[in-house]
Amino acid sequence: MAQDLTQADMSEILSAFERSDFARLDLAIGSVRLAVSRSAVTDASVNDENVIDLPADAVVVSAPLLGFFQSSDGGGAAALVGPGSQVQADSTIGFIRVMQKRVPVKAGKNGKVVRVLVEDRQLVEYGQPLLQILPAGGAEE
Amino acid sequence: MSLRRVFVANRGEIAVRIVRACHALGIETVVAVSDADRDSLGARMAGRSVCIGPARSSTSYLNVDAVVTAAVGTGCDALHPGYGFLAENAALADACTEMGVVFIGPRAETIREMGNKIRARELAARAGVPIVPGASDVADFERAASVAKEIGLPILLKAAAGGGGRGMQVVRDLADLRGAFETASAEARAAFGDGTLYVERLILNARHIEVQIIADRHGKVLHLGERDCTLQRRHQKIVEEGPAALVAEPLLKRIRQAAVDLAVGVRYENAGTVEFIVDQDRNEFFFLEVNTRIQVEHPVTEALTGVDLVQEQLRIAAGEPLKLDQKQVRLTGHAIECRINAEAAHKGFRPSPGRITAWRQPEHDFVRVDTHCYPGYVVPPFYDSMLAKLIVVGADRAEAVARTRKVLEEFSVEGIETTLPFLRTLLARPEYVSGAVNTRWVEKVMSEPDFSSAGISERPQVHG
Repeated sequence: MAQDLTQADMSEILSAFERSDFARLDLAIGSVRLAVSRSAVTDASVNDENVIDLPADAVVVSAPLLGFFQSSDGGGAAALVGPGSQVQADSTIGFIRVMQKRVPVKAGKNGKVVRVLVEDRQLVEYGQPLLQILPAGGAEE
Repeated sequence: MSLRRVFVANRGEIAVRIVRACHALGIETVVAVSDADRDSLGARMAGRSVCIGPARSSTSYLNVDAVVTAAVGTGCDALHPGYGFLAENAALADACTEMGVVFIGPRAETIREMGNKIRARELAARAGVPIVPGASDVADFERAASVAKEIGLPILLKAAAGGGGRGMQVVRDLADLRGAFETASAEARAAFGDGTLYVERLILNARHIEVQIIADRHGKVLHLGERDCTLQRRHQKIVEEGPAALVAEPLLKRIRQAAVDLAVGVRYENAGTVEFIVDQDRNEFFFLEVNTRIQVEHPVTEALTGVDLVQEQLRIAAGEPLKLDQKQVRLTGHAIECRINAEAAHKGFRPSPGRITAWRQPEHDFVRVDTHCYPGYVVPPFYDSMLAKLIVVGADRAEAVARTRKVLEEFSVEGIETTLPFLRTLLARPEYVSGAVNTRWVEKVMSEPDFSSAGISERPQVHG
């Protein structure tokens, strides 16, 4: 089993990219794809769910604890949120399972989900970005 | 079966130590980190690190659910708890078993039994190991007097119903027994509703001697000699050494055998330490407790025996039989370990976290330094203050002592205060050099008026 990229790996790769002369980087390891480009370059291939490129106004919802991310209410139900979903601050955007416990994760902001950064049943670390929300009143409103 | 990927549920130097041992055996590693330790040396050396929670250890390193979930979620087949934190928490061992992760340590049942002091004492007695003479049923003065005569003075009287030193009385002279009994019994009745006392012999001139045990899953139990941890402050070990050169060999032989007997008696598995108190006046020893984990001072034993204890722990956990036999275990030379903490000794050992601006450690073929520190490292304020363990070997105790005193001078840390000046002062004392010490010695020395001005501060003392 390939080990997934950690946040530390990503920041190391990004700083190596920053120091390099390359215009674009597209890297896929396990379930993570990392695609970055210098601002001068426009690239139509960069539109994947897992692509790390943050819209300027988006805020990140981070994991409040370590555990397995659960995107739905369980039992084969559809994911609670996806790109485009409107959420309220107290909306549950998913759960984190730790042993027998299941902890709901709240959006924390009113707005629109831009991107979901984790997959159902994936291990998420404490503080790991789960999804991005464009807060209501932001640029796209 | 062999281990493929080990989860390290600890931090600091022991996380580094476990990662090294795993990598030496070709085992992958995942290190648990709190939010404060994301950039730690252990995390950087490991194949991967996983943030299990916030800086506060109760929400990270002490969180059984987070630790086990992280181990499972990163595909680890075994978990090493190190020392401290959850190392002697039977619930962690149980949770690992439940989730199909091998716990690198003794069985949960052993951790539970040895963690209960009364049960551990019972099991030691059953294995024929001497326990401190005493009685727990002293309800009247006549019984107190007969117990005192039987076990000899001085004795300690305390409430049988509870701990915490409530109503504790020391009796050095039989003439004082009645008064002490009445006071202790009244206090016990007031605090616990029961005036029954526990009476045990008080050992004033004591050495702390502990025996390293390793045992595989196939019933083989070995001792790897002993360590002398007599230098303590408030029950915290400061300097450890081995072998116990200042205890007579016939007594040491019996102590080592007692440790093996107890380990066999409880069907012990993996590494452990059986601690004893040695009465230097009567040349007797008694069982104290069993530590069901790898200990801070394990490098002393490694230096003497050449056995890598953490690698042995991994092999044992994988189900391998011990290759070593008791007669192959030889203690060569003498080893001394000093714990270097981020504490200001001259300010009541106040913790001194912060950024290390310079770190110079001695480099010799007779020196080993186990540490997670480096220049620029920021010592977080949330955890134990140990920065490093300095292990020095010599052909005999005299050489080891001389070398330790020399390399303590070469060790320098800037930016934070450390216990290095305190260690230098302590190890320069003639009583340490000759070995004429007991478990109360450090505190006695520290209470001397000239000790605080004897240079335990790195900075010049300001007078007036």
